[in-house]
Amino acid sequence: MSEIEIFLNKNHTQIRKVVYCVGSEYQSWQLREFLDHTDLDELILTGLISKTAASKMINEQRERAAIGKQHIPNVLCYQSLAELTPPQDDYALVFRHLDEPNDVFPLSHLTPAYVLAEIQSSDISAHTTWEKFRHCCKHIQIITRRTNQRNQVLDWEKAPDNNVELSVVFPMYNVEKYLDQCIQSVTAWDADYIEFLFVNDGSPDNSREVVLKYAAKDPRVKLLDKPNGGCASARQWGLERAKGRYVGFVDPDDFIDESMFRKLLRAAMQGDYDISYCGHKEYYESTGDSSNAIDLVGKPYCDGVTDTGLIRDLIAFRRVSIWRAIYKMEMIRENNIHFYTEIRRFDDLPFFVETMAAARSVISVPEYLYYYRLERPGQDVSANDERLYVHFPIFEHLNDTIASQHNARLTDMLQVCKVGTHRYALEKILPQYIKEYAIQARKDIATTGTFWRSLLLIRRMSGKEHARYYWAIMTRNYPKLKRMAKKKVLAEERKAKW
Amino acid sequence: MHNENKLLTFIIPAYNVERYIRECLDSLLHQTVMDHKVIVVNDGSTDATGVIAKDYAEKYPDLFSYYEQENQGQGAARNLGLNLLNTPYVTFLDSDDWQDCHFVERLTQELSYHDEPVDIVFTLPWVYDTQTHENLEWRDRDLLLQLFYPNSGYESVASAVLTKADPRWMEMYSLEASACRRVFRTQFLKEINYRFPVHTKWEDVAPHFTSIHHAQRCIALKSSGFCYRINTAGQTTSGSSASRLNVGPVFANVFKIAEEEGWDKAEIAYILKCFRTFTDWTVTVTDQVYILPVLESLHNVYRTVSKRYIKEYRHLFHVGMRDRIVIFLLRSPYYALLKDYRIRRIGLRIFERIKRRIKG
Repeated sequence: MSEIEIFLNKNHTQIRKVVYCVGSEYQSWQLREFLDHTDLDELILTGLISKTAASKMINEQRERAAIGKQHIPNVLCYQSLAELTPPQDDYALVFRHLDEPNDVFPLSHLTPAYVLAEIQSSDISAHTTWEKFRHCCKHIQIITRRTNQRNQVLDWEKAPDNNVELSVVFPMYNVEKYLDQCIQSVTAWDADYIEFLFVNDGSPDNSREVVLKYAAKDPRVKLLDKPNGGCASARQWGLERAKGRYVGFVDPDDFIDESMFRKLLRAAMQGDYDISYCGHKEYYESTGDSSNAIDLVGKPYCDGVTDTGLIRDLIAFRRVSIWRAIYKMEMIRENNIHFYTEIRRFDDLPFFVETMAAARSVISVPEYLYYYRLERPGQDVSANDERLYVHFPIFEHLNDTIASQHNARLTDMLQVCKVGTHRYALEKILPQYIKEYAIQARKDIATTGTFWRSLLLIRRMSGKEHARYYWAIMTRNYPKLKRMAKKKVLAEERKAKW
Repeated sequence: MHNENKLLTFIIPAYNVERYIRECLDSLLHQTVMDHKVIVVNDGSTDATGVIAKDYAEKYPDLFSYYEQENQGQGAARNLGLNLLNTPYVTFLDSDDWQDCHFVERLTQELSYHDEPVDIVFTLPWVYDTQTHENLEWRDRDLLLQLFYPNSGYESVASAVLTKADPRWMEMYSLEASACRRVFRTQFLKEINYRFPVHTKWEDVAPHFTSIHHAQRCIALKSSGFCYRINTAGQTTSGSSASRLNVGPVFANVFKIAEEEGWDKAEIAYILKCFRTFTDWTVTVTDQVYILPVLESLHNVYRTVSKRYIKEYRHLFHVGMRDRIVIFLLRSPYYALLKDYRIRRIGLRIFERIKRRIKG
């Protein structure tokens, strides 16, 4: 029994009429099974199947019905594709074993209320099929069969009053210089089911006017004004006002590959995934070069993952970033995930960890599509003084939301993430802050694990380097931390010279 | 048609399921053959479940009947329904699942093939994953087909009848414990005084064993069944809360009944097998906070199981070394070792390595 039959069985009071479009290799037993599990008034068989084969099949079913083995619909007939006259009222279009896009797209002049389809991943994409039928349908379900992998099911129901599938939020503060490039790169994809929300966080420069200029030309671009409150509050403002089924975030000083959101949305919708993400490139403003930031975007994540263990691993091993991903709004709302507006920077870290902990299915697009601008003055990542202390309130929040779930594996991943973050901070921070930072880091790490267990965990999960830092932090060996940071600086200098 | 003439009663306990109950009741309202009635028991819901169910009962009074009770758990709600029966057959349905639209038709057909009364009809549900929208196979599908349809292909034939004398009878204990997937003869339930334990989760487990122990003739219905939703919030099987604690006492109760009534050694071995799968699964999903009490309650049960049953279990199912180690640990005072998932995993790895070395 496949998903199509389940759907027809479940909604058999609404769907009484079906146009059943099948490929040439459709067999009689498949029709028998289909009729066995469904309850219909009218079934029109059509497609690439020949008239003789179809009428033979239909006669077989009639014979079975005559001896009481089966119910058949009152109207059961064959019509060829050319002279197909679909029923007047609501009906479902079901297609199966249609292998070529050219077989499917002639059907797109039909206006069914439901589309149920089974396609092969190698032939046509579920997203393209969805685009063809989304205007007339109430409900679309497309099953993608893949070789040696689990099937993906696109399940889409028409929302009554909006047709936005994806909202992209841009928190905007003093980015006038980069805004043109950003807007041009995101609006290059001309789908009408996407909206761009530019949240003006009380920016003193001309960014507002730039956005208005584009908004006049493109109705998908929308401007939201709010008083200044930091990046987190701007993202939260946009998140609350987003209407899409999925939501994404882009920093307006960066820009994207034109295909990024199309690929992300296609991957996410195909299997109704909670999160879909891709990799990013580091873009050096001074030279105009860009290089891939190597990340976990390959197998098994690019095939779609529903195993919570694998998803949790991303907390520890994926680079922290919330742009270059789209998130299902339903998941965010259900788990009450939000930005902590009192945190002034690195507000993406808690959002990233919380969404990964809540997600039940994840897919990645194995390409590097987001351009992350480096060497910009005043950037968060270039902070190397007491601004880095912001990690501690962040991890306090995460202790409240993640560690309080008492899931051993999730807590361990948070611990790995903590040590990784503190290591990153200790390598960057100026020497005079190291001691103070390490004292606080020690307190923080101790809240989510015992000493020896965490040591073994970190050695196993993230290697000797991290374990060395962990050991130094926990044994209060501040001179060693300073030496390690110095070594790191020297190594980078040497690298730069080369 | 009068209630007395109908074939089947569905008993539906409902607790806070306003999201799903419409689908569930609709699937019973529009069966292809209407030869059934429905008892909905509202188990003290705090949301609109009661209102919806009452609405159905008012609109279709000869199909639905509505009862209320204070919140006492699913077991008590089902017991309430059991007291009100006046049809020859009865089955249960969870309010967040829905029934195949051909169910009553197929059941009538299947029963008409068998002249003598049958005590239990096993149905074959299917599983619907609400997260991925995928259709999955019911876990014991192969076993069911082997038992009841030993040499048939797809063609719909009558199910074989398993009688008590059949050597494969015991295999039925390995079927899934769910009460919703079976149709009972009402008279048979009255004879064995079938009741669900009250105020516990896992109320299906104890009746699963007692009903099969007392049944004389069983058949199966492979072509139809309810649809079981997985991955929804708030399910017993998905929530990782303290409700797991009850697995120990539930099985302790089963072992007690079995020993008091003097069941066969092999039957107890089957109970033990079921308990083992439950143990593995419980230990892997329980929260950090509850794991120690859970292990303690499991330890208490394993300790009381007599050694000869464990021997019988090993002998019957050819269990491997890993299984023996887990049982040994759970019987010994070192059961707390199993509390950390990393220790479990590392232990397993070391064990595999030793095994490989011995083999190599």
